[in-house]
Amino acid sequence: MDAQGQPHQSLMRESQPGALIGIYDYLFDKGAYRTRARALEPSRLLAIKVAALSRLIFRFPNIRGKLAPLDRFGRLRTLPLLHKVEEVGLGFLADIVEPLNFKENELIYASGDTESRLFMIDQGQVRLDGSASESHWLGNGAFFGLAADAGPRGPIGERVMRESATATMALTAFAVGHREFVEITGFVPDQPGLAEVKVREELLGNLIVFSRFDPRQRLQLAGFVSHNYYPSNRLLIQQGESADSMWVLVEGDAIIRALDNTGQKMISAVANGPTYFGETALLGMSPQDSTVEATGDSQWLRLHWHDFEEFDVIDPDDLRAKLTVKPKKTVALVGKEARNKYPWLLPGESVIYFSRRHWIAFFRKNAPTFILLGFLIVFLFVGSLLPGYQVWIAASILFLILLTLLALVWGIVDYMNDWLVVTDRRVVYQEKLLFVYQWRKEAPLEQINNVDYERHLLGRWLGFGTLVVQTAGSAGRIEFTYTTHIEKLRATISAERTQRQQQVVAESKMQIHRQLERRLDVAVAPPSRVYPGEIQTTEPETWRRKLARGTAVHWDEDGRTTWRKHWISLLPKIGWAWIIPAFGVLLGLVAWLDWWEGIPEQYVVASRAFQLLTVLLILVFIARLAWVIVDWYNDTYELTDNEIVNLRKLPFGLREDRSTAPLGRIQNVEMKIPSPIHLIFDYGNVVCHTAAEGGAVIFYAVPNPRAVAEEITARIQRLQRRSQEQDARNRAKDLPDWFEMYSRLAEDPTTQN
Amino acid sequence: MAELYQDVDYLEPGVVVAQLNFLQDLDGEDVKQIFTQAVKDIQLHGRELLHAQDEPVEYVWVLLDGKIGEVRRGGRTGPAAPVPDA
Repeated sequence: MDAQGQPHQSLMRESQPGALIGIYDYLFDKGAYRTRARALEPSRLLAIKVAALSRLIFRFPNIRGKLAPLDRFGRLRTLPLLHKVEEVGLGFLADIVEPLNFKENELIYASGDTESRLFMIDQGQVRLDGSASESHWLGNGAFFGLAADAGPRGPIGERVMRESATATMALTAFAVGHREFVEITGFVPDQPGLAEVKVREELLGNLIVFSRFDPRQRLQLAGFVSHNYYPSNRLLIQQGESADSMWVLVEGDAIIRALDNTGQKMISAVANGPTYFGETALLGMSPQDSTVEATGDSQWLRLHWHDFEEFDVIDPDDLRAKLTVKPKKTVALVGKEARNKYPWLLPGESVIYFSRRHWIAFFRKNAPTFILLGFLIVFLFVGSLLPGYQVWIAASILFLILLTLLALVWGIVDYMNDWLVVTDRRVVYQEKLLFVYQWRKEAPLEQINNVDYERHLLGRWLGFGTLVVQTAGSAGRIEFTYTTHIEKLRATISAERTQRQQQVVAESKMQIHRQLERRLDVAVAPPSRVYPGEIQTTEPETWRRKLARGTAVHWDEDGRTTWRKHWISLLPKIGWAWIIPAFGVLLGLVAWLDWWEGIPEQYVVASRAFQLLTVLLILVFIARLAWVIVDWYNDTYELTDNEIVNLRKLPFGLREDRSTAPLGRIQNVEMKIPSPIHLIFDYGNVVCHTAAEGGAVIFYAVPNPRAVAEEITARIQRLQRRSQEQDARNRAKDLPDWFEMYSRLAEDPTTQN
Repeated sequence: MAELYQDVDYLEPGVVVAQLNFLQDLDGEDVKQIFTQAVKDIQLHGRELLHAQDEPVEYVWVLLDGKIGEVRRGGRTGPAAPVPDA
């Protein structure tokens, strides 16, 4: 130990049979062995010349991954607490760490337990509960299994834990023996690790963005951030990109660059920690004004909007509404308020514009009210002319008042339920007639070809018209009649479309950067999110939904969501219309003939024939029932990440039809709940309009059609994002080769003038 | 500088391929060519030095049997500054 109690020795380890010795010294081109190696007992080894290994790597470049756990090494390299551990030491750690998985709510260790391991969070969240009823939350990149009294003069290896550690979501962590860790790295991680917890909490707690959070929320927020160390420069935000995360610079520098509107480079700036960027991403993925690059040897906290969304879902408060962030554009609704009002919103989606119809539509919807009002006036007038009190007039007037009021309420609700919403991802149009039907049609912004309007003379006077949103689909028109502020609505849709297109350009630049990072072997890719699953939805559970789910007509398997038709769609197919009356008549006849005492001899045969016929009819009925049920069971609608599939199979393999449509060709999605029966049992049709000549793929009679439409929309959005990334990757694919050749030529003295 | 393990013969490439797990699933002929005159089977007695610190990297070893200890003397890799109290 030195004066500060730190061990003098490091990179100390004992290798067991199967180990590759000297591999990290070779792979990381240190030129010399970083350690001295000695046999601790008689040993046998294969000595491999590094020249042969170099030829092997040249011939089989992917062999590097088999020589050493490079993925694990790459992850350890981004853990802030290991930032001063040299590469060979990280390699030794990568050899011995044990990847562990914990389930949600699984206790990892309890307070008072003796623990010889320490843990590093790869992805997930851990809550530490201390004796003073204080809790701390840890996210990606944090260490736990630390003891405040451990080293330099305290215990090394087995230590008593002062808190209990519980995985609060699915967790992957690396475990390593505390003693082994100290021997390899040469430092005791406990106190620096605990100090790091405080640093994260204080840093987040002091940010103005979260100033309206209560103390518990600020502490818990630390469990939703990824703490990353970047050993070399790393592009974090690309100008124009819809950033997905807020970035907090903890230590080190950031370079901020921007191009002006003409594409000219503006002066760069350097920022020092602590500071933050991209906070508007927490309101929903929003385009960024500048490019932000982490310099090498810097530490960052990343709060992904997905993780913040998850935090918002589990917290009783509306956290998004409590953010102190000025949005770049006017957003009509965000956070839980938006989700409560529009449960179909996708995670991170914001409502930009909301439009109801012009007031003249209100009068049109209330036409029955005005007619009833007319009758009421007539009755009142007639009643006033007649002498004395007329009971029938009074009763009629009372009845008409009641009817008029009902019609008025109906008209108001009907008017309020029709709207057009523009979000940052799509245009959605809903019509709903209370207790009668519901209809919703939507078009992703990318699929919109043009936005027009039609307006006649009266509309011009009163300020309304019909907005027409045109997509490429055969039925790809969304027409919203009696629209007000048409120009503003058109401009909003156009602006949102343009923004989505800019995203593609920014994505390309990001991909070029990533390709070059990979080529230069400086790429690091710690998990971007803490919460590994999909965001929980808060859509209310209704008795209709329970009824639909109880029939098990929807399930997910390997990324494939499958629906069957609602069970109620079986009823018309069974053929009650002819089976029940025939069955009833025959049963009646049989009963009558059998119970008729003294049945004449000549009718006994007829009675038996009726009985036989009844049995036959029952068998036919059972066969028909089985056929219909098996047919219903075999017919499915499937949704994958790339396509929708309608599978129709007759029983006994008599016939099988499979029709598919690529998700990428779907122009818009329409949901219909066409009748009160459909509303009561919560089922309906979902129509996916495609650009193909075939027209539409229709999911008939699916339970909870709103959720089906939402799932399809969500998958379309994900596919579009993947396609954009893939396109950008393809465009950037050859660029590293160009740069490499350019660099070689530029450095070659024979090519210099 | 004298070459290490001069008195030990090179292993036949086929033997090498059979012994090294990471070579499985690779093209056998290519690998045999690469590992011709490249691998030796060596024995160390207890406390015998395998390589010294700061010596140039010439070999990588696969431990077949026994136990090898590694250690670096001097030059701490952890944080140099005293750690704050948590």
